[in-house]
Amino acid sequence: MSSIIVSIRRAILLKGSKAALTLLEKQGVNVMFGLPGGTTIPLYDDLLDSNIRHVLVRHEQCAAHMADGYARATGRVGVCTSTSGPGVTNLMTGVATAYVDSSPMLVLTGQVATPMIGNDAFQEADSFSLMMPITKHNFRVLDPKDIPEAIVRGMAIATTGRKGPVHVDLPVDVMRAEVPEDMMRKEYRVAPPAEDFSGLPQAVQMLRNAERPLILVGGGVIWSDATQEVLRISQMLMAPIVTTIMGKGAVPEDHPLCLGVIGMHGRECARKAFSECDLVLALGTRFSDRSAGNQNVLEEGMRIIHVDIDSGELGKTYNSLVRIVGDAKKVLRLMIEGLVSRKGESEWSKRVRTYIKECECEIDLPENPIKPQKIIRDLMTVLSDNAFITTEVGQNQMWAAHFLKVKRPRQFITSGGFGTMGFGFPAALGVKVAFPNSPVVDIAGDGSIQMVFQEFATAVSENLPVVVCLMNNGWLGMVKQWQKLFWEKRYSGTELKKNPDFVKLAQAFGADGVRVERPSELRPALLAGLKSGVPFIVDVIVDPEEDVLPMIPPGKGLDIVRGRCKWK
Amino acid sequence: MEVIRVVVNDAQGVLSRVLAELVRRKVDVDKAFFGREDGKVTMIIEVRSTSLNGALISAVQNLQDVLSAEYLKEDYLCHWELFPSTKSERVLMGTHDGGSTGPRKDSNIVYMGLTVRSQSDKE
Repeated sequence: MSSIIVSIRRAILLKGSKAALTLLEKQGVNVMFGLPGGTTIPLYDDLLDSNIRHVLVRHEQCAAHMADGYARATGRVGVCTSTSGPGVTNLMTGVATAYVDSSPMLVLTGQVATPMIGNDAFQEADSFSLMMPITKHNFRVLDPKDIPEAIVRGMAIATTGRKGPVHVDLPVDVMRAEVPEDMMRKEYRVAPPAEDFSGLPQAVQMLRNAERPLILVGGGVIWSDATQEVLRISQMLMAPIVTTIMGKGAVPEDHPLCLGVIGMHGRECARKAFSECDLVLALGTRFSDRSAGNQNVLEEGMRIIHVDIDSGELGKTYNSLVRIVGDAKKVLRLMIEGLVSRKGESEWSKRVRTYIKECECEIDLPENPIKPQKIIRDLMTVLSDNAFITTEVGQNQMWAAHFLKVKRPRQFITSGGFGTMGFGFPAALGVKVAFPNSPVVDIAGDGSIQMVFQEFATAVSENLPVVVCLMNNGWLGMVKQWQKLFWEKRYSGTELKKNPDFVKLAQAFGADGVRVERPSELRPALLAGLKSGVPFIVDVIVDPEEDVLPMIPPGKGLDIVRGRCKWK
Repeated sequence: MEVIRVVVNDAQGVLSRVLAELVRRKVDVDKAFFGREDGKVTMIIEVRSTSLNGALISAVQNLQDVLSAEYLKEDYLCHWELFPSTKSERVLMGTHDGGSTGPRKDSNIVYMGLTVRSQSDKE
């Protein structure tokens, strides 16, 4: 009799941490990246009986980056977790990275028991306040009955409208307490994002009348899954497409109307077309200061139709003429309906084709020391179409953004807005968890990789054979480049003296690698890495004097620095 | 100086989140008054002028649990007033129609905050 009563009680009441995991499973979550601590032991105890895979990281920042990489590659919510206090503060860089690039994540953190909150308890931090400015929303759950709302609404908020991370702070006693079953069955709704299509007729009219239209594609197009619509309207208008770094891959970069990435280190053909067009159709982009905003390419009086799902972005940086609030795919479909007819080849489209041709340059550079451009070129020859590429931040990122021809959305994953060094490697591991059969390569710099090198332990223990392609120049290269170009070569704090032997270091973790010092060794080394079946580092010694050029210097009025770029 | 009225659901953290959003966007908050009523909170916030204007309002509106956000007319000011008859203080939001010391028309008061118990009441 007593066992019957117990089983009934179990059916009615569920432990808080078990409830959270059960709800996550129902939401389709199958992996969680994290590192446990005292306050998350209840959660980890219930993980043993859960279908959710746990990937144990070696630093919480990387848990967030892995969840972020997973989210960007799949389009689904990435979940990460840490303990309270230092666990939370370690997570924050990764959460902020996801927030700035609008990546959907659920961040579960442990917290000290509710009676201890505010008493400066061991490993207590005000996680709720700390996370507030770097998350789309956050919950501090002080009552177990509120767990279902936090999890279910949290997942919905992360994926509704403009995507972003949601934080749920779970005190340890709340996780150990029981959740009434009726709260588990309750429905929790999130309001759909606001839309405003009133500018649509004017936008269609402007697009019809434009002589030199151009489409600026941001990351919102990828999240909206609007690739086909962008290509359709581009062909209808014979309008060239330029992308921000976050929009890279939204359209195939070998498409005849795609000019590639715009911005500080963007392609000259993209900059030229952007400065000469008479109308910009901007889709899912916030005109950041590194892409299309605040650059000398942004001409006064340029007419802009700005489409964004976040009304707060419209008019924030640049004064657009027509503002449309809505999902890019939905808005583009309405625009396409309104346009009806196609434009034929025009002087403008012919001019753009010339620009594309003139912008081709030789990057199969045979010189020694190896040029970073050569690495990008050789990588493109060995990677299959199903490969993913992540980057760290700095020169390695800009070389990749400039020269890599990306074929599909979500193939290229980078920290565009927050510019987080150490993002690429853990993000690559997150991608590999989601796509174990696809090659995943992290393009890294020696500065960035040393921030997260310990994750080779995670890669080995979780059997995640990614390839780190290291551009090793012995410097914090991008800062050095600025010191060289704008600070009279006064190099301060940028030389990475006494770098370790990265191959030996990887081998110490149980991974493998090879050092490359000659151009001829590069391609075989990359192929060996891809075939190795273990986490692998290709440590390429590159020319420390090679800069990422062309470059639009910060601030207006300065000439573009072109260097090796032959564009006139 | 600009005055923003934000109406929010009375949900956990929303007041802090609205203020954090303003701070994040480099908006100086000079005064802020909150009044709870029927599950909603009205926030009257005086801010130093900002170039974000419409974008700022949209950003605040897009936060979870924010029901509305709007600029009020420039001649609105926030006032603390003492009501000697009740020994309490009220927050008034009204036009500057009678000058700083002149009478204020009730019709011009757009928001009257909750009565705040004085320190002696609490004791």
